[in-house]
This record gives sequence, C-alpha cells and structure tokens, in this order.
Amino acid sequence: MTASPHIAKAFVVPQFERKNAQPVAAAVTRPLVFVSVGMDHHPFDRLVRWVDCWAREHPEVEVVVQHGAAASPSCAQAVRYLSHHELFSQISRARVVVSHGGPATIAEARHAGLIPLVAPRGHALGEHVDNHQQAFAALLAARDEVFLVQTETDLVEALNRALAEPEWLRRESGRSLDVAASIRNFAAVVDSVTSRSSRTSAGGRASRSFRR
Amino acid sequence: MNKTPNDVAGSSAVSPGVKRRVLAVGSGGGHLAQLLVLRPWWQDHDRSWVCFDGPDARDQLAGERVVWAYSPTTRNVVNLVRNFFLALRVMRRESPDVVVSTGAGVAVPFFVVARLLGIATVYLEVVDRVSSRTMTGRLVRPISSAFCVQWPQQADLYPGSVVVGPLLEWESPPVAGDSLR
Repeated sequence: MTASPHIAKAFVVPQFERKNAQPVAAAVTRPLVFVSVGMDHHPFDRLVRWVDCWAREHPEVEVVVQHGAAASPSCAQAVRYLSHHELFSQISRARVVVSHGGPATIAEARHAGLIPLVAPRGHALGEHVDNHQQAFAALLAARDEVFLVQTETDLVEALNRALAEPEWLRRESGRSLDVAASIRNFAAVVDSVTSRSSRTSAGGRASRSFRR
Repeated sequence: MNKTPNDVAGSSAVSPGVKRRVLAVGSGGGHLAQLLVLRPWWQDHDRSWVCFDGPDARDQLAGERVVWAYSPTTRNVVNLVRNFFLALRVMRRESPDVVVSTGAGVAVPFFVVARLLGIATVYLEVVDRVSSRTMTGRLVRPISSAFCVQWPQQADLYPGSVVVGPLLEWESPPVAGDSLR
C-alpha cells in the first residue's frame, strides 16, 4: 500500500435490491416509516420484530427496515445495508424515523427536521458490545433531541401518535446544539498546542507556524 | 480540574489564523463523520487524510488528499505494525503541523509516530461514548498534546480533558452527492 496521498474519487454506490417492495398506487403516497439498525455486526432482531408486527397491522403505511445482521422482516420492506446517500434519501422522505442508538442515523434524522424514535441496543440481549447506546440515547432524550422507546408498547404508541399527529416529531433542524461553537473551541485547542509544539521543536518548523 | 478552551469571540465562522498542515486520521463510519463536521475549521488549512477505504469514505473525501490505512485494526497486530510503518512514511512525506483524530484504533500508531517526531497531536473523543472510556482514548491520552471531549460527562472520564462541545451536525442538510462543498 502506497504512502503517497492521492486525490480520492467518489464511489458510485450500487442500489441494493429491496425485498417485499410493493407497488405504490399512482394517486396515493403512503407515509413512510423508516427504520435503521445501523452497521454494527450484532443483530438487533428485537427492534426489527417490533416494527414488523406493527407494519402488518398498518398496510396503509410504507415501512422500510434497514435490518443489518438481524433476520429480514417478513412484512415490511427489507434492506440489509444502506450507503450514506441512500440513508439520507430514505430519511428525507420519511414521516417517522426509528433508529437504534447510533449517532449517524440520529444525526441524519435531525438534519431532516425529525425527532427520531430511538430504541438503544442492549448488551445483555447480545445487541452490542456494551451499553453505551443506552447512555447516549438517555443523554439526548434528556435534552429532547430524541424520543426514547424502550418497550414494544412505547414504540407502538409512538408510531400511532406520529401518524395521527404529523407535527409531533417535526423539529426545525439546527440551533439546539451550538456546533459552530464546538468547532471554534476545537480550533482554539489546535492553535494552542500547535504554537507550543512549534516553539519547542527544532529547525524550520517554528517559522512555518508563525508565517501569516 | 477540567479545562475550558478560549472561545473565539464574535464571529460565527472560524477565523483562519495561521494556515497549518493538518493530518486528519479516522477509521470510516462515525469516526470520519465527526472529523467531517469540523469542515469549517479544516477547510482553511492544508490537509490530508488517513482513513479506511470504502464507498462512503470515497464519497465523503472526494477531491481530498487521502491515504488508505490498513484495516481492520481491532485486535489485529499485523495491521497495527503495518500502520506504524505507514505512519512513518506518511508523516515524513506530509510533514504536518498537527495530527488530529477521532479514533478508532488507527489513531494509535499515528499518534505514536507523531510523538516520536515532535508533531502536535489532538484527539477528539467520539460523541456517543458518554459512560465509559474507549480503548483508543485510554491508549492515546498519555501521548496527546491535547485531549478533547464533547460532553461534560466525558470530562469526568478523562480528567484534564478539554470540553469543546458536541459535534453532531444537525444543521443544514447535506446536498446529496456533494458532501464536500
């Protein structure tokens, strides 16, 4: 493998074939419930089963489940994995996003102005290496950034409510977290250690750091 | 006692200040995603990237200078050694002023080599590990010039770390196919 940097080229992502896809009547667009369990190799069958049961009772709703290592749902549309672009595409047309406790799907949902329903993976059930998703989801739920669903009843009630009240989970994206301030803070830290390192290291490095 | 950084007062953009050579190191997935949130900072600097090859990484780093590292790194001593020698070659060629990383394990050999060469290193702990320390965090903490965390809860896990705030990009949505503007 070469150490020479090269300019990366965008990769054209193949479309994954969907199972259980149903034709949509031209005049009617069903609301979409999109579910994502992420890329982790631990199966998250519990969430997939809950959603699949609900999907069976709600044929008026389009349900797409990105199921990863879990068994494919039998009623809802199934896709194993999605690229970043495909994830964004699904979420941007979803009425409701249901997610495991991973930051990527949660962030994409918030991007799209949606509060996701989050079911964190549990270590005791073999769903993840530890319980960090539980702690992360709890932190975000305490800030009203996600809606936590810990049981099947929680999920069913939340899904029913979201469909009856479309604005319940809609949130203007942005401003709840001051990411710009975080970036400025990070930049300040880099500046402080780089100046310090340049002053103490040998040769021409000091002149590079202070060049304007 | 945990430190607070000096905030750059006033502007919403990051003032460029001195233009630096940055080497950004991150495994794909969420580690790379969190480095990408720092775009308003790194877009004003010369930078190159060390990442794992993959469709998302190629999309997200299209047009950037990249070196693909050896993967996987979890419990893989062979790749650890390979990445150490890769780090030596990359660091000599790129001659960065600073190496920044969000992990995961690929950060370790790069931080070790940076330390040996007297290059500053800044580690940023990932946003979703709030109740326990990561293996990478524990390994690089002693050899980082600065160790940043995103939440106050993480500062309790790493005494002396700097809380910069969360880097969950929840503001303007990305344009599909145009991750790097």
